[in-house]
This record gives sequence, structure tokens and C-alpha cells, in this order.
Amino acid sequence: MNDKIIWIILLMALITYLTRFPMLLISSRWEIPDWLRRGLAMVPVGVFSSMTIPPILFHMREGAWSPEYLVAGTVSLAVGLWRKQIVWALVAGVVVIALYRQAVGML
Amino acid sequence: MSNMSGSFALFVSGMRQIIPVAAAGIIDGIVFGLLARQAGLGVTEAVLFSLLVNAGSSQFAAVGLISQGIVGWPILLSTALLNARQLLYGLSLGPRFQGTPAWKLSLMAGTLNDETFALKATYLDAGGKPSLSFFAGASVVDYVIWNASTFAGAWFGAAFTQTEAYGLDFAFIATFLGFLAVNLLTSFHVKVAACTAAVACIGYALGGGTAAVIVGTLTAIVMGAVSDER
Repeated sequence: MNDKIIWIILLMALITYLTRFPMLLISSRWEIPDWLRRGLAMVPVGVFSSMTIPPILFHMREGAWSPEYLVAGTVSLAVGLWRKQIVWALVAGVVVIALYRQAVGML
Repeated sequence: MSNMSGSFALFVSGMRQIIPVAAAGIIDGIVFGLLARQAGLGVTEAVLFSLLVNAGSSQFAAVGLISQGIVGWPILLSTALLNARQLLYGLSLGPRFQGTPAWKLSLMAGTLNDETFALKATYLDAGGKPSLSFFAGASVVDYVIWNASTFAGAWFGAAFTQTEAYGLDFAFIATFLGFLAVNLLTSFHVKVAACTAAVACIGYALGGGTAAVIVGTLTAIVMGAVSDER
């Protein structure tokens, strides 16, 4: 087994725990300033849009820009907004891209 | 004695109520296990992720980076940024547990993820009394489902070869689009998402994926902190 991977997993577990426990403890004992609360409230939207939109817009396949991620991504986001469940966005995105590749015949 | 049976009833109630929420994670867990194998990890490593980290989005991102041959600090950075939203979960639950001993909170924090938080918040908003037993019941079931489905995906994952034909290279992005969708709660959120995306694209063009996430997230935090809009 790869030692480096094990270290990464352990450090990820530590970092993850640090995002879970300290803030729970602090906010159970003290008041949190409003501006910090408002800033943190935008973290999910910030992280998820910056992890998805650039790779979709800059997607290359076989050396050229390809619209396949844009097509599948649009459907995936729409389904996510409609169903309000992450798993349906996942299923829709994967199905659309598989169908798209069948249709374009790039397989 | 009545107190004992009361907390046991709440424990069972938590176990029951998390099922529809956690069941949706079965496919995510299977896909995670599968992608972990595709990235070159073994079954043990794939399952260790779910056992020890137990935070779907950061696990997906880590495996995505590993499949590109990146094993190091970018994984830890993306873990910190992705899981920073759990700071919010603590922030919103903490005030409900003012009298709870720190060691009990430290246990509760161990399984504070998207699914368990969603259920806890819904339960408390519906007027439920803050109960560690209820949360423990929910957490146990969520944890078992996530790990069992990871194991199933990892076990059968090696047999899967044509990932591109099945569109699995898009699974990461599609999952995160789902997360984005459920977080677009108000028009202000949409505005922040749009500005973040624009800044992130510049970051992406200049410095790649990690740079995009850093500048994008900072943009969102600053917009939230300075704005009066909700």
C-alpha cells in the first residue's frame, strides 16, 4: 500500500475534523460577529461554482475545445435546481455526457 | 429509566429519518469507490477515505487530483476549502448546544457532514429538542451507508474499464454542480456564484484549478461579508 496516500488520508481526516469541531464548540460558548457569519455563509456557493464553471468552460478533448461538458453541465445544474438533490445532478450529468458521446460518435 | 427509553426512542427516530437522506448517497458512494479504483487506489485505500474522512465532496476532489498524478498539498488545500462549509454547520448548530459538555460535542462533530447536518437542521427547524441521541442515530446509519456503498463501488470498480464511454470522467463536476444547485438559495447567492465563477475563470486561465478555487472562494467570502443582501 502506498504510504504517501495513507498520510494524505490521515491529514485530510484531521483537516476535516478541524472544520467540524472547533466552530461547533466556539459557537456553543461565544457569539460570532455578524460579518464573519455572512462571509462564511457564502463559502459553499464560492467553492462549488469555482470548482465547476472553469473546467466546464475550458474543457478540451482530443486537443480542441469541446462543448460536451457545457451541454452536460447545463442539464446537470438544471436537474439539481429542479430536484434539489445532489445525486440526480450526478446521474443526469453522467447520462447526458454518455449519450452526447454516443451521438457525436467520439468513442 | 424513562429517560433511557426516551433517548433510545430518539436514537431510533434519528436512524429512521436519515435513511431517505443517506440513501441518495448510495450512488455517490458507489461512484466514489469506483473512481478511487480508476485513480489507481486499492480497495483498502478507497474504504479508508470513507472511514476516516467521511466527507464526500473532498473525497471526490482528492481522487480527481490523484487520478491526475497529484498527490500532495493541493489535495489538502482542496480538502480545507471544500470542507470549510462545515464551519457553517458548526456555527449554526453550536448555539443550540450551549450546556452540552465539550467532549460530547467533539464526538458529535466527528460525523457532522452534509447529510447529517441537513437532517439536524430540518429537525431543529421543525421544533425538535436538541438531542444528541437523535443525532447519534442519524450519524450511525449515514456512516454505515456511506462506507458500505464505497466498499461496493471499490470492490466492483476494477472490473470497470471504459470510464469515458460511461461518462464517469464528468462525475466529479456533475456532483459539484448538484452541490452548487442546492446551495443557490436566494438571488444574492446566484449573484455571488456568477461573480465567483468569473473570477475563478481568470484564476483558472492563469494558474489552474487550485488557483481558481482559492480566488473564487475568497471573492465569495468578501462579497458575503461586505454586503447587506441575503
